[in-house]
Amino acid sequence: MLEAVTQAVQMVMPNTQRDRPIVLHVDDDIASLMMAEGALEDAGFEVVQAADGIQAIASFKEHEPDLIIMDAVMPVMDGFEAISGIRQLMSGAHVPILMITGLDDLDSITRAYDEGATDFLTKPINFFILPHRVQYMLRSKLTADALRSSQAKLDNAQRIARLGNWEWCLASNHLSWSREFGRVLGLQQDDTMDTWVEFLDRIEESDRHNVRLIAEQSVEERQPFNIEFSTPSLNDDSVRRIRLEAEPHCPDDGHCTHMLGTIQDITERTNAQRQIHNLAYYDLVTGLPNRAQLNEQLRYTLKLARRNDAKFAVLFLDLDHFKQVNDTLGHDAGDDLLKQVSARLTGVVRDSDMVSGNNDTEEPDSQHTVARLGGDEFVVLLGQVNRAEDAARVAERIAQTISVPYQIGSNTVSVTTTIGISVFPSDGVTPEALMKNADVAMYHAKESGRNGYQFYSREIHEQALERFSLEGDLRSAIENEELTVVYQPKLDMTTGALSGMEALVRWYHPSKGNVSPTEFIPLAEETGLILPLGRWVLSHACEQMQRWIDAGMAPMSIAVNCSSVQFTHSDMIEDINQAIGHSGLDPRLLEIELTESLLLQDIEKGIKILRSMKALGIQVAIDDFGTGFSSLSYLKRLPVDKLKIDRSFVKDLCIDPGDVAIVSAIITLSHNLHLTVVAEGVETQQQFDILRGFDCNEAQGYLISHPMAVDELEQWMANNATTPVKKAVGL
Amino acid sequence: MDWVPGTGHAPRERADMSNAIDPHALKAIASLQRPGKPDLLLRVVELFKTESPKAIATMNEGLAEGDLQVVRNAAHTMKSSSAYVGAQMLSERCRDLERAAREENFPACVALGDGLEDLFNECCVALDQHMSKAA
Repeated sequence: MLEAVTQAVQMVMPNTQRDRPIVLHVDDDIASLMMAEGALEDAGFEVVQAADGIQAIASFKEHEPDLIIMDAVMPVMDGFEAISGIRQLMSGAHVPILMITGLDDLDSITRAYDEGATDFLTKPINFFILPHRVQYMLRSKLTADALRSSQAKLDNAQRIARLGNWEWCLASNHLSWSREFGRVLGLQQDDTMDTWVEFLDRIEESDRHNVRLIAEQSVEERQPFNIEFSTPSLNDDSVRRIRLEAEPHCPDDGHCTHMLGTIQDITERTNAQRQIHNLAYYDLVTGLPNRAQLNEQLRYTLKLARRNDAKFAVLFLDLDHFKQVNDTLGHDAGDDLLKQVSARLTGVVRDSDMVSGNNDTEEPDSQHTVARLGGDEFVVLLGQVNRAEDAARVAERIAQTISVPYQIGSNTVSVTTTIGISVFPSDGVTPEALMKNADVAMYHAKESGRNGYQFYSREIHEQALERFSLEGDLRSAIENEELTVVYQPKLDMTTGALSGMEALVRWYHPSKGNVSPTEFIPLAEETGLILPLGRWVLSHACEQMQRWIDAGMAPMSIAVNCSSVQFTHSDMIEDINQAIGHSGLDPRLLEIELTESLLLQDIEKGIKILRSMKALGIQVAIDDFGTGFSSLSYLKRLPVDKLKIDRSFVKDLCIDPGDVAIVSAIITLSHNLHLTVVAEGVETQQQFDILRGFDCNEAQGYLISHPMAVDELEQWMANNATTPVKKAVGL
Repeated sequence: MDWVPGTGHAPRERADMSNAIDPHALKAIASLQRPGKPDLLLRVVELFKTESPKAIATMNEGLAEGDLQVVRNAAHTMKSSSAYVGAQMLSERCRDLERAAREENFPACVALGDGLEDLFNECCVALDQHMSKAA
C-alpha cells in the first residue's frame, strides 16, 4: 500500500528535467507530419512521429512524450482506439492529447472527448497556430500536475499525521471529507458517511452527546472548538482516541453556512502520554507513587486541609536492614522485599482508613497515599487524621506489620522500620517542611531506638503517648467498671417538687484521680469506646431509678445523654429497649437527651430514629438548645417532648438583655409547640426568678444541687424530705 | 458547400492553370523550412504528386466496386493533403466527395469522382508553374 502511494506521487510529479518537451505526432499523412515537425521544432519542441495507432502506442511507451497530437482517421488503428490504449497505461493517464478532426465532423469531436482527448484541432491544420496550442496545453498540464502533486502531498501528509479533514454544510447537513478522514474513522472502501449525523453515530456513545453539543454551541457562538472522543477500532475491541478541531465558517452577514474541521488519531500519543505519566509518577519496582506523585498528592492534601481546617500526617520510614538483604541475597531479592513491604504498607493504610473512619467518613476526598522515594525509603501520607495519635496508631501498626518475617525465595528475611511523623499544621505548613521534619523525626527515632516511631514535635509525641495510655486506661476502666454515674436533680418551678434527674458519667482514674468528662468523652467518641460506655450508663441509670422507685421514692424522670456516635449507630433503639427491659423501668420515665446539631446532620434520618424512640414510649429532650443551628422550622417537625435551654443563656440572664430576650422567646416558642422547657445551669436566685417569670417549667443547676453520687443523693433526699428545696428557691 | 447533386463542375479557366493553386499556401509551407534541412516545400509537393494518384486510384476502385467506405477514406486523405498545397478546389471536391460517401449517396459520389483526376492534373501543372517561378 505504501508502495502504491509512493508510485502515485512520482507519477504526478511534473517532468521538469526535459529542456525540450517531447511531442508525439501521429498522422498517416506524411506531408502533414513534415510540416508540423518544422513548426514544432522551431518552437522548441522535440518531435517524434507515428503513422498509425499501433505505432503511436509503441512510441508513447518508448519516448514518454509530454504531449500527443493525434489524427483521428488513420489506417490499421485509428486515433480513438489509440487514445483509449494510451489512457489505459499508467503513465498515459494524464498526458495531454490534441485530437485532429475534420472541420465538420462533430461526431469525431464528441467521440474523441469520450475516449479521453484533452483538446481538438480541425483540419487542415494551421501549422503556425499549432505550436501555440501545444504550449497552452502543456502549461495547463503542468498546472494540473502541480495540483495532483499537491493533492497527493496533502493526502500523504494527512496519512502520515493520521489527520483527515472534513466539511459540514449546515444547510444540507451534507458531510464531505478527505481519504484520511475515512481511514482515521476506520471506514471501509464502500462505506458512506454523507451526513453529520452518520459521523456522530460513529463516535462512542459516552462522547457523542458532548461532540454534538459543542458543535452546536460553536455554530451559535461562532467560535472554533476542539474536543477528544473515542471511536471503536476496526481491527479489534480496542478504541481509538480522536481529536477533533473545527471552526464554523460564517460569511460577512454572520450566518454560519459551513463547519470546517479536522480529525486526528491521537491514540498512540495518548497511550504514550499515559506511559510517560506512569514512568514519571510511579515507581517501577513497587508500582507505588514516586516522589513526584507524592509531592502532588501532598500539595493537594495541604490545600484540602487548609480549606477544611483539618489535620494530616506525613510518615517517613526506611527499612533498617535492607542493605544487608541487598548485599547478601542480591538485587532481585531486594526488589522482591521492597514489593512485599509495599503490599503490607498499602494493606495497613487501607485498614486504618476503616478504623479511623468512625464518624461515617465525612470527608471522602481525604486520601491516604503510600509512596516510595527510592532505595528503602517510603512515605505514608495520611490524608486526614483527627488527632496526632491516629498517626501514632498507624505508625505502630506499620512497625508491627513490617517486622513480620518475609519469605524471599528460599530465605526467610526480617527487617524492621523506623518511622518519623510530622503533622500539619503544627510541624510545618509546606510540603517541604513536612517532609523534612518527618525525615528529621525518623533520625531522632533511630537515635532513641524506642517505639519504632517518633513525632517531630516532642510535645505532640508526649501528648500522643499520653492519650494512648489514657485510651488504654479508659478501655480497662469500662471493663473494670471504674466509672461511676452521678445524678443531678431537676426541679418543677411551679410546684417546687423534684421533677427528675440527669445521669452523668464520672471517671476516677486510679493514679490520675478525677478525669474530666470533657477530656475522656471526646476520646471515647473517637475510639468508639462511647458505645460500650453509653450502653453502660444507660442501663446503670435505668436500674438505679427503678431501685429508688422500688425503695418508695416518687417516680420521676431519669435523663441520659446520647452522643452522636451512639445516635447514628443503629443499635441505639435496641440498647434502650434492653435497658428498659432489664431494669423494669416505666419507659415514660426515661428521657434521652440529644443535641440539636446531631439531629440536624441528617434531618430525615433523625426524625426516623426519634419516631422509633417515641414508639418505645420514652421521652426525648433537645439538649443545649440555642447553641447550634436552632432551626425553628425543623423544630416543629421533630417529635420531641422537651427543650433544655443552654447554660450559656442562663448564665448572663441578669446582665445581658439579649439573653433575656432569647430565653423569653425560646420559652414562648416551646410552649406554643407544647414542649416542656428546662433551664440548665441555674446558679442564682435571681436567674431562677426571671425564668419563673417567663413560665419556664423546670430548673437544673447548682442552686438546686450539684450532681451527686447515689449515697450522697440519698442523703440529700433524706435531708430535704419535704420542702427544703422549695425554700432554697424561695417558693 | 452549395453543391447540388448531379450538376457536376464544368472545367473552368483551363488556360490559367495557376489559379488551381493558392500561392499563399506554398509560401506558408516554405516559411516552415528549417535551416540545414531538406527542402520542405519540394518534399511536400513531391509527396502530393506521388501520393495523390494512389488515392485517386483507390477512390476509383471503390466507386467501381460500390465500396463507399474506401471512397470516403481516400477522399478524406486527399481533402487535407490538397488543402495544404493550396489546391483549394480539389480539396473542396474531396470534401464533398467524402461527405457524399459518408451519406452513402452513390450517384453523387460517381458525379463528384468524375473529373477529379483532371482536377488533380491541373493542380500538378499549376504547382510546377509556381515552383519554377519560385526557383
